[in-house]
Amino acid sequence: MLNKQLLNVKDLYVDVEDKEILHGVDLSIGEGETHVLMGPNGTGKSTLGYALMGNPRYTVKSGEIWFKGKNITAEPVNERAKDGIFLSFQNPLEIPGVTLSSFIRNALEQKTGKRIKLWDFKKDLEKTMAILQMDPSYAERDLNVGFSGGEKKKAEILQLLMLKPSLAILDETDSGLDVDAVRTVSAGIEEYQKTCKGSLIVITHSTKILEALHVDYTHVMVEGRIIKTGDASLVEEINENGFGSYETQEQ
Amino acid sequence: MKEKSQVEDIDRSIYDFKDDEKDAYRIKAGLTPEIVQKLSKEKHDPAWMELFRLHSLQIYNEMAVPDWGPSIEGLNMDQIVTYVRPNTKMKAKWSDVPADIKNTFERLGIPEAERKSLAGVGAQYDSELVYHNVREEVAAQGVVYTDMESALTGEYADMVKKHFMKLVKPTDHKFAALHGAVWSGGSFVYVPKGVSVEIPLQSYFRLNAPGAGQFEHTLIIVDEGADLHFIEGCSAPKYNVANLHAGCVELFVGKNARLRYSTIENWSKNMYNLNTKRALVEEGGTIEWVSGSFGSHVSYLYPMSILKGRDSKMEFTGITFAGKGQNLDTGAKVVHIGENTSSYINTKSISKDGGISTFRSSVVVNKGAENAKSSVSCQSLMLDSESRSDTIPAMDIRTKNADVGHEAQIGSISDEAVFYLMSRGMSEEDARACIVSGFADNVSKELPLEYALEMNNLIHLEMKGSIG
Amino acid sequence: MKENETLKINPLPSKTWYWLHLNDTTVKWNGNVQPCMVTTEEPEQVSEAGLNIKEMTTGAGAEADTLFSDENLPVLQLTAKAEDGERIIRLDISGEDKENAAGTVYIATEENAHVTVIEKFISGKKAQSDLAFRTKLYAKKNSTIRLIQINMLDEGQRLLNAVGSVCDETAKLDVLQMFIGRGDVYNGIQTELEGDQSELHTEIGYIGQKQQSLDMNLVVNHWGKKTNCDIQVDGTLKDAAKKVFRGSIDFKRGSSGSKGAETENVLLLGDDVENKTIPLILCAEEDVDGSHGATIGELDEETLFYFAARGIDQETAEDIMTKAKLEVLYHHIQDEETERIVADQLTKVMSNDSQ
Repeated sequence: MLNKQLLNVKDLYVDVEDKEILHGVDLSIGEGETHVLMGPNGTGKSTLGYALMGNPRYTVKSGEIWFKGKNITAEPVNERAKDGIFLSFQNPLEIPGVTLSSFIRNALEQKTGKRIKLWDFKKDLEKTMAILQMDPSYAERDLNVGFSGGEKKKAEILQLLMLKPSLAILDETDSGLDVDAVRTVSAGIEEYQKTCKGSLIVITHSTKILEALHVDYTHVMVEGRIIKTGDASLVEEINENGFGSYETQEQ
Repeated sequence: MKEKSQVEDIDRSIYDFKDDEKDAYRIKAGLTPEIVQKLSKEKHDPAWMELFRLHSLQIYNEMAVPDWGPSIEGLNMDQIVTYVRPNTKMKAKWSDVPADIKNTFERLGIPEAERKSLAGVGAQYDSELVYHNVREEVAAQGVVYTDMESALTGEYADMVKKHFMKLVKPTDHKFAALHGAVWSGGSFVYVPKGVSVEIPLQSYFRLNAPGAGQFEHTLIIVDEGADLHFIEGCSAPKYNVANLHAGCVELFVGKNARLRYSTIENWSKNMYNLNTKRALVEEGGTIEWVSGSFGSHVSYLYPMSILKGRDSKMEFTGITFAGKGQNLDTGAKVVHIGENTSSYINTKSISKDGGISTFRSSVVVNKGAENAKSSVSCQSLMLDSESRSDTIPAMDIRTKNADVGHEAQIGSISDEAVFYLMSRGMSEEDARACIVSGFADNVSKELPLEYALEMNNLIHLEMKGSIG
Repeated sequence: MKENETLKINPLPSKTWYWLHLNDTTVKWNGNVQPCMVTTEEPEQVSEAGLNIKEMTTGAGAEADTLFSDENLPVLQLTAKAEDGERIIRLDISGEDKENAAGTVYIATEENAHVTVIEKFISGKKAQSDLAFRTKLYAKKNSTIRLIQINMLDEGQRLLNAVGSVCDETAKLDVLQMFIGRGDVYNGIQTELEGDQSELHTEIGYIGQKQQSLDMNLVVNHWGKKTNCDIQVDGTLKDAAKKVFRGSIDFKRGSSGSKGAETENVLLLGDDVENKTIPLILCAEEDVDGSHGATIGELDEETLFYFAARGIDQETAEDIMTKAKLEVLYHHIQDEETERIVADQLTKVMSNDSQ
């Protein structure tokens, strides 16, 4: 059965500092679906993530991005976030003086446009942190300041679970994590699939994080184009054979 | 305890030879309206220039000596001879230049450099140019490269009058006023629209006469879309009396034009070098300064760039090496006026053997200079505790969406670095020289090869010594 | 003293071009000063706070000293003793109903003593008024002084804050200043790191709004060996606020093994702001390590993008960052009562409608 369409990317060309990185990307994502985006380093996977979120450094030269039936190609970043797009960062920002808890609360208030009761918020936050096996004291620590790599990734997933977007783009969320941390992060992503019924784009070049997830589609990106789309089995194929065959194809 | 390597004083033998002043015309020392008038007559100035000189003298007399920089108490204006004319007319062939003067420039390697790598050369000896020549193919492109005196009365007289001391006004400071009163010599360059001069032009200034001043004026106009590299070199033998250099450089960089201005200043250590350099950059234009300061007893030198047009740029790369008896106050100034303008200042300074080096700068971002970007980085190296190194950078930012960064470091040669190099078999002396050369590398690689070699040579001579 | 004295204050230790107007600051100050009110719990007054404390130079310069010369002005003299343990002295300073008020406090420590001095500058009753206050600190061997100064003066109420300090061997001085009022501030601090291994840590946070003007002069003289200083200044300018920051680290000959670092970050949010910064490093000693860095501008793109990706618009992001800079500081106060007052003041000063 086909799911209702959530995101539709049409023939997207993207420049970074006057250099074309994406050369015509098409991608369609239905509600509740989990898509994996794989490919060798430097092929434009993260660029696609940033372009979908609307980073001003990434210029859309042509093509369109449709989200929930609306053309958002020219929409500012914060509007896209309010519409329900979430991007987890590889290197999230450190802000001394702003606690993790107050940052999330601020974001939630902006999203909903109303004040959020501190007590309910705290309870909710604590519960969510428990899923991610985060020490509750982190809530009152300055955002990402002095966090380890793993803690930063968890803090991103915590925001994902708290903000409940309809589309989450996870950019190399598993890189640099040990086995336990990957397991915890996957548990968080599963929780997102379960409770938010949200869609996912998982950008990765390893497969560890995918073991516990139900994957609907797999896309292979090489040199700024999606050159193959398949189901979950494609992940295993790549796992065994690598990207070599695709790269030669491209040439 | 290990001894530090003692560093010798610089070997100036290649610069430090003097010629006798034969039959040269020498104006009386000191400064009065009469002397200025006499000078003006000797030089056959147009009438407006004589008035300009007298007016500048008046300003000079009214202005105070700066009290914020190195002391210039040793400079007695009443004893400085403002005008010394060598006993020759300007020539266009080296073979026509009198033997003793030609010999001087031969020893400095100028004719050889001209043959090898320059598009044109001007050579000034004391107050007047003695040689000027530009390659035929460059002249054929319409490039004008001549001495200021000819320019004042020649085909470009109007252009000269329109620009002369409009960028650096005599009211700017006392020594700009002095320059206005007694300037002599220097070069005028005009590069027409769209002309790209592939190889550099060079002027070389040599001050031979003891107790004299050199006040050359350099005016360069690079028209729209044109491109030029201009090199300036200076040296003088050392005398026991103070010499003064108060030159003035005015650079007009047109729309989308580019000018690179390189200087290796190696005046002798009795020189007071109070030089003023300024560039005005139009839309999309670029000014690049490369500046090495090695000589002089006292230096005040801060090339200024006015980024008037939108998208105009400046880059400044400088090095200052202050040795015994030297107080070198150098740096750069930039004013951002246009939108999207950018400036990048990168300097290194080295102090040794009681030398004082000061890095002084100002970055001004005017209101309306939207999206201006500026980055200043200065590093100072202290080679001993008899020396001094000060950093005085100012920023005045009046546009909120400017992006201004500044960083400075001061320190000594790290013992670990010396240890590391010694552990690889280098002597301590070589290790220290190697570190200092590396420190100056960013500047030397910006220079034309001949100059980079000259500079490296200077540094190595400076660092060469024995473990004491 | 004259009614309307013209003073040159906050002098830069080494002059530069006059056209920059950074060599000093000219202010008009009413020289007919009245005593200011200093409220405090039971401080033990002593007649002599310590060796030559009176002769200490403050960062505001010699001309500012004339404001404190009148004999009728209050002079508090306090000594912190080692046996008192960690002591906190809180001083609430106000001009009350005076148009121009002034006062001085001398604080000295005994060897090995630890003291925290919290000075809060509280609004007086006169809408247009001036308050001048001078603090001189003498930290003896192995002692620690923490000086915390909070300016909360309202719009129209100017503060001239002059601080002079000397640290003996292994003594440590921490200065934490928060300028979270709405009036103009002239702030001059000078520190002599005289003893070997003495230290200075300075943290300054500010917010400048409307026509507000902040003028600062920090001078650190490294005399002793292995002395250490760091200066961190972080603030925000909105509307047409003006700020001058002079920060000078001076390594005197003989201060071998010393380190000095200063960093300044200025967030520019107003269309008519003026920001001047001049960080000096003066150095007459080979074996030292000095550095300074400054970043001046709007919020960078990375930061804005991160906020936006979480649905937070630019204006809110700017507010959050402005407040964050100051929140970082007040958590360092380590005195609950003061932290609470600062938190309230911060909310008040950040809210756009309050006057």
